[in-house]
Amino acid sequence: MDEFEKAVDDIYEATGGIMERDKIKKELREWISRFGVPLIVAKREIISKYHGKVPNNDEKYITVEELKPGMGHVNLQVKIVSINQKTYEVDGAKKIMHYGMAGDETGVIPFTAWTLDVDLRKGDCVEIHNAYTREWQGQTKLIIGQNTRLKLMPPNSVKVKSNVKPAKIVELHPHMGLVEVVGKVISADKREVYVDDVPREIYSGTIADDTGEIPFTSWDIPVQAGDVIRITGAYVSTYRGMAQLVFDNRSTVKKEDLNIEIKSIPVQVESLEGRGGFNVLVEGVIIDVKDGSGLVYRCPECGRALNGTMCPVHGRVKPRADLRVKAILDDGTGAVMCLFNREQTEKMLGMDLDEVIEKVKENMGNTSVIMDMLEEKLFARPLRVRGNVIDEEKYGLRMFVKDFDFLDLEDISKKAESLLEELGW
Amino acid sequence: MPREPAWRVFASELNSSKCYMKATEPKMPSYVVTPLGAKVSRIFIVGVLTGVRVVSDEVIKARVVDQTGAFYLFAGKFRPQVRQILESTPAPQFVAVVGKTNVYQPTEDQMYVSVVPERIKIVDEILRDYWVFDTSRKLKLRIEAMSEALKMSDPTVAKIMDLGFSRKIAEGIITAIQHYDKIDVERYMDMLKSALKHLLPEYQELGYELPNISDEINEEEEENPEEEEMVLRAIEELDDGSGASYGDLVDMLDIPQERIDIILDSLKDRGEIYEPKIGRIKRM
Repeated sequence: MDEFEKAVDDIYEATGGIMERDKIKKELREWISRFGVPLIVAKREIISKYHGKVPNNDEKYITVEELKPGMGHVNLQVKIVSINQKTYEVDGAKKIMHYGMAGDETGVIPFTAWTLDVDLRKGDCVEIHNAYTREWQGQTKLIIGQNTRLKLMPPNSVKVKSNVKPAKIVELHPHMGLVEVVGKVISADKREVYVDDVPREIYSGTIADDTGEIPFTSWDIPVQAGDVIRITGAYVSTYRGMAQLVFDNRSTVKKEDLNIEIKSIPVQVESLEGRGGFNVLVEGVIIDVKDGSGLVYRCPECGRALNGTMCPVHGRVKPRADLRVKAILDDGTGAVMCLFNREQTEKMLGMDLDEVIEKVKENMGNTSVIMDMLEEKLFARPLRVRGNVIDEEKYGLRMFVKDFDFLDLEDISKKAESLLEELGW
Repeated sequence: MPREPAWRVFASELNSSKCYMKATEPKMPSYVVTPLGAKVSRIFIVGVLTGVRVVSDEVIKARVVDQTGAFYLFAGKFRPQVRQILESTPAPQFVAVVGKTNVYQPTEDQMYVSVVPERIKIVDEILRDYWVFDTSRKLKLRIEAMSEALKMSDPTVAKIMDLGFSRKIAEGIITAIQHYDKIDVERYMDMLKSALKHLLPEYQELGYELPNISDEINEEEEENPEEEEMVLRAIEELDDGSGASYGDLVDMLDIPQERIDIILDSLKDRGEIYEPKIGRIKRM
């Protein structure tokens, strides 16, 4: 029997057979398909609408760890880790919903409360009767609905398992859950926005530790450049192909009296896969110089590289000459496509744009002479590059190079010696 | 899907590989998995080009050696630039190569790894030293990861990653442990130390010699009728009608395999033998 049929049976039995099955079916289907009410909720609502007895097993408490999506009538004892509110409109009437995190000694779970019969605050311990769960963005979410009853418990009667992972900035990756980061705020700008008509403050900038730097967004929590802060309960999201740290009132932010040395150490390319990176340093070898590097002609309007004088968007234009390099840098752990601008390409070639154009003229307008020079200069050359790396499905890892240097290879024997010493030679 | 990294692996480690993970779908990479868990689809090599042989209009074989052994390059017709450089560069010469790994498996338990070069460039000694250093520190990392994994009663990718190793390293280590019966970490430790020693100033002043370049070149030029005769006789002996198996031939003869390859190629060129199918050799 499928879930739907089972729900029909449950309603039939709970309402003592006062409704025919077909009528129940029709009403249940309408709740689900027309109003998008989850089956489990619709079932309970219909039962209570017809004054049936909602089955419950109040005596049994389960733990957060045991919760799975699609459970009904669950009873829990939890501590409110965080709570926020949002207004929403139903038939023109404004209502308030609450959401946040609740936990016990086995774990923490997000919750949504459509109504609250007690005034819940952060830190409260509470018995929850007859709640249900749903799947929300791949996670289980606890729902406090109309038929859920809450009862406050003595303070601190529930302990919460901490699921916040301490992490270095280089390790931060989306999907790692809540994290704790200690870092120095490099820059912070404040702006105000309205979310659901509520004015909110956003502080955004970058934060760094001894492993790297990452952009952050702080909702409503003031952050000041130069401070060293400990953020507990932040999470990592990606924005435009790059990881960023996000925190708000659900997180705690403490100023620390610490000195953090911001070092620039090269990261492994593999660690950028799936997250990109802000202002990262990468050391590797150029293993490919892509076609389209060297002298290019762009549409003066949109900057597109053109084949002739026709821009697909702006029609016939007088193209503007430019220099660029697209090259694959590989450090043995992964590969990143590096995009170098005109100035950087001029530095590599030791020629400026005019000289390049002259050189191409000498070669009967054949731009491949420049491509060959770049190949010769770059292929197999160890390079250190710095810039923002974005990871997008379509292109893979790409870095917009801010600055670069050819590696100094003169002190290899010294490095070899210290590595041998490490090996106890 | 992320681009496959170009692994830095010494020749001896690559050539010891007996594990090949063939792509199950088109456009997916195939991997040679070394005993230390390097999952090599693409490789970056800097070494000394010691010998080039034009096998046919379509195939050029070449050897690039490092301090531990030789990489076997197999250049086809699809990379005219690679071919042009290989044909015109006199050995010995420092070269950098980016290529894809490939294998030849004449029998089930035999596997020979080669590299199909995508790009090649003449470079200088400084770059080679940098490559040896870079390859050494990457080898060190795999040695450490493998040593840790071998200590575990039930090693998993997650447990190795918990020790701070990257996912690619951890996955390779687990594949290697599943595939290889015995992994001699000590051997690679010795390899690592000797490779690094070559970079020390005292060695550089001595002008360390490259492994057997002159020998190899002599080998190629010199014709040895005695050995050829041995090879031909062995082929006849092993021929069960469908030709002698290459693997059996190598096992039977007391001649280094590289040398056998050279003799076979030269016999083939002269039309004395032919391959009815891959891995089988017959006398004309």
